[in-house]
Amino acid sequence: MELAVDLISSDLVSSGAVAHGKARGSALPAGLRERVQSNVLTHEQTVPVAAEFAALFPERALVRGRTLACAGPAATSTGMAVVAAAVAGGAWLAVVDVPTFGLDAASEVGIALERVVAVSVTPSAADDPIPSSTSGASGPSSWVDVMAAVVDGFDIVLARVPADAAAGPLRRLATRIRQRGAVVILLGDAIAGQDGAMPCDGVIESGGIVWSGLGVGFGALRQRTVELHMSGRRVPGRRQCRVTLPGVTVADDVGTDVRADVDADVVADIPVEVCA
Amino acid sequence: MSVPGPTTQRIVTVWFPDWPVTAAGFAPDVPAAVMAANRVIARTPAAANEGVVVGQRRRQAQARCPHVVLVDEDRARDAREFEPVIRAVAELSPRLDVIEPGWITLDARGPSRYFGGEAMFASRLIATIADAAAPNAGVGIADGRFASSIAARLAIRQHEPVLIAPGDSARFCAGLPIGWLQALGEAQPELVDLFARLGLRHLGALAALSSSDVLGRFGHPGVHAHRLASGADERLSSTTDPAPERRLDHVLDDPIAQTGAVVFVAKQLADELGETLAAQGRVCTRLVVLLETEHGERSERSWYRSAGLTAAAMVERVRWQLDAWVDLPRGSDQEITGGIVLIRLVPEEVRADVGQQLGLWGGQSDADRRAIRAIARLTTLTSETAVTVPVWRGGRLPGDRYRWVPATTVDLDQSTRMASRASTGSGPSGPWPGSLPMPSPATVYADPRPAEVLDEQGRVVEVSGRGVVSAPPVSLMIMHGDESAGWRRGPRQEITAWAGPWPIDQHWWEPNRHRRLAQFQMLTGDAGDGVREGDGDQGYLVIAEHRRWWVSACYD
Repeated sequence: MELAVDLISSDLVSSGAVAHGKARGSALPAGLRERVQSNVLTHEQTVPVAAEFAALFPERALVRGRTLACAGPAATSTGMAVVAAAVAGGAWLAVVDVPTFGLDAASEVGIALERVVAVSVTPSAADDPIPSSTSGASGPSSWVDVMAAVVDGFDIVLARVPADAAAGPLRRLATRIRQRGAVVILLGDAIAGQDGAMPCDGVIESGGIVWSGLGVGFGALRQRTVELHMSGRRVPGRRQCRVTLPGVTVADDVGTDVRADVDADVVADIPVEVCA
Repeated sequence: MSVPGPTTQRIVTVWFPDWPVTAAGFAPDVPAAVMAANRVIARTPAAANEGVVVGQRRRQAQARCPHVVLVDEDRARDAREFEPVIRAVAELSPRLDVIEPGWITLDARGPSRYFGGEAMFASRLIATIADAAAPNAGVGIADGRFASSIAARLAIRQHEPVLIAPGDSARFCAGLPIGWLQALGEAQPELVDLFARLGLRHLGALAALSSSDVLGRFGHPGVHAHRLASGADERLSSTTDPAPERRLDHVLDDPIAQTGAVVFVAKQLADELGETLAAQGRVCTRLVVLLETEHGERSERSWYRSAGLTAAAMVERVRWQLDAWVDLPRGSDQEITGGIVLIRLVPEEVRADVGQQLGLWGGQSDADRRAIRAIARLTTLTSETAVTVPVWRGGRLPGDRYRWVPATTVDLDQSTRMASRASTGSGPSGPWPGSLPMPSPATVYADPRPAEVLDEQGRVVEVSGRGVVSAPPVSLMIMHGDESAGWRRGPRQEITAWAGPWPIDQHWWEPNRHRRLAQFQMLTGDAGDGVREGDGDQGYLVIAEHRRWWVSACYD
């Protein structure tokens, strides 16, 4: 009987220590404390991000309610890779107005495609990463309305802002995103720091891409390293990291190693004879 | 009304097959079906003859029977149309339980003694229902609600009431397939499937197991199934609580004439009742709803649900009852003439809530439910074709591999969807020889953009029919604009690395879909105009088809 009481009291002590994050905290498996923690404020709630990106974010995770923008020549793949761990962990991903979303690339970075839903507000491909002066005709108010409904139901949103969206509704949308706790990633170049642009908490700029695997007339694209710079109002200083895309792993506990599929169906990369 | 004791109650079940389709007003010879969540839930005999089966998708039903009339489910309509039948049956025996529209149970002992035996009572019931202009109903009498419900369903096939002698229910059940548990909604499909895979193909095989073993292996749902399979009623009458003043009522000072306002009051009562019961670890299985108007007219109805009534289910039943009452024809003896002044909810039968254990993995998470709700809302906000989900189709070109289908036409249940390539074990996933290896492009154009690939002399590079390029490509120009406004040349980009051609010649046996093309991967450096200084290489997937160049995807 005394033994039982001892056990219970020691149990209580240890759980108390866990709650305060003191004595026994270090003995916990990584990530468990975040899971068992209760009473977290909304702006402290985070969704996981692949370890390679952790250096970009002061919180080492994506903070709920934040809006981030991905820019530069690797914007789309960066956006996919940043949200991959969250989607693999059970969150749903809404893709708003990105008709060119490459599903194969998404599944290669670990996004579970059964939790991907695409919403198109503008009828056709409005714009795309190849610089273009024409902007698709769109209804900016309806885009905001749709986004408001999307952030209600989805944890992760990848979206492209129509070029002619008005500033007022966009600000209200940003407030709603903060309230609902969705993580919104905006794609494309014309987003941050302009008039009528969506207010962003941070911009992930990609650049310095070095591809490997492709030669002059032989090989095939295999991997690239991308330099990522993070800046913005909620980011102290300028953070940067260098990642390999594809090759970012989603969290270990998800149990899917996306790199295992590399050699699934390789086209023979024999040098092709060039006839001059 | 029930006699406490170990003997199981004699129960009469009246069951109308495919009630929703009857309530929708379709004659049996018109092929029609009622849909809920894109699945057939009820169909007319004519549609059944054409091969429309409950559980089919809309498309499958239309494929089987192209002229089938499909209407959406409307629970309020079902309840409203059922009211005359309830009233007709209540003339014979006032105490009846409505389980759902189209399904009534009554206590058999009193009425059958009055009408001179169970067989007499059953034929009397059928005559009464026929007078109420209702279609053919199945009447079954047996010990316990489960056996009697099965008997009523079998009665439909046999065109006469099925009477199971007292004490014979266990033998009756023993020979029936295990699937009846699922058909009557008493067990989850997963559990029934597990039983079947374990070799328990008949209810008798399950009943032969020891109750404690079943509890140890399958928990409370298993014990419930075991008890039903043994021919006992789900809960013995003696376990019924004496209900110490648990009823809740609300007297309204001002009579309410609007249905919505009454339902709102009922919702408050139901929430309160649900919370009180939940605090005691109980759940209500039979609820009596009493409504009274300022002129003293009353509507009292007993609702039964073996899985227990949640607050939402209680409110739904109040609404059904009220709608049906308001909808009564003018001049009938129980017509409603004034506003409602009294709403009373009496939980007549409660039981301990054994609860439902959620699975450790699989099943629906909160995020899934939220997303599915959001999809429904987005569909109304935009259009049905604007909200899409990916389905793996297979193919060699990046644009061919997935198809976006409207989310409303797909069962979003994860276990059955074949979204990603990984989840498709065989079939179209295949090896797809000729497709490019990982990594795949992140941006895939639905319509490839025209481009020009030039060699050192500024001539357009050509790919011969044997897959030989005329000269090494040196620069790439991507066109901007669109089909209607005309294409304009973009900046000239230097090709720093390239590989190809990888020829594809597919669907040569089908003139419309035949494609013969060669794929290239190209990396371009800085554009030379300083726009993308220091950004590094940009990868493109370029195809040569019909002697022209296109950019089909971008590795951005």
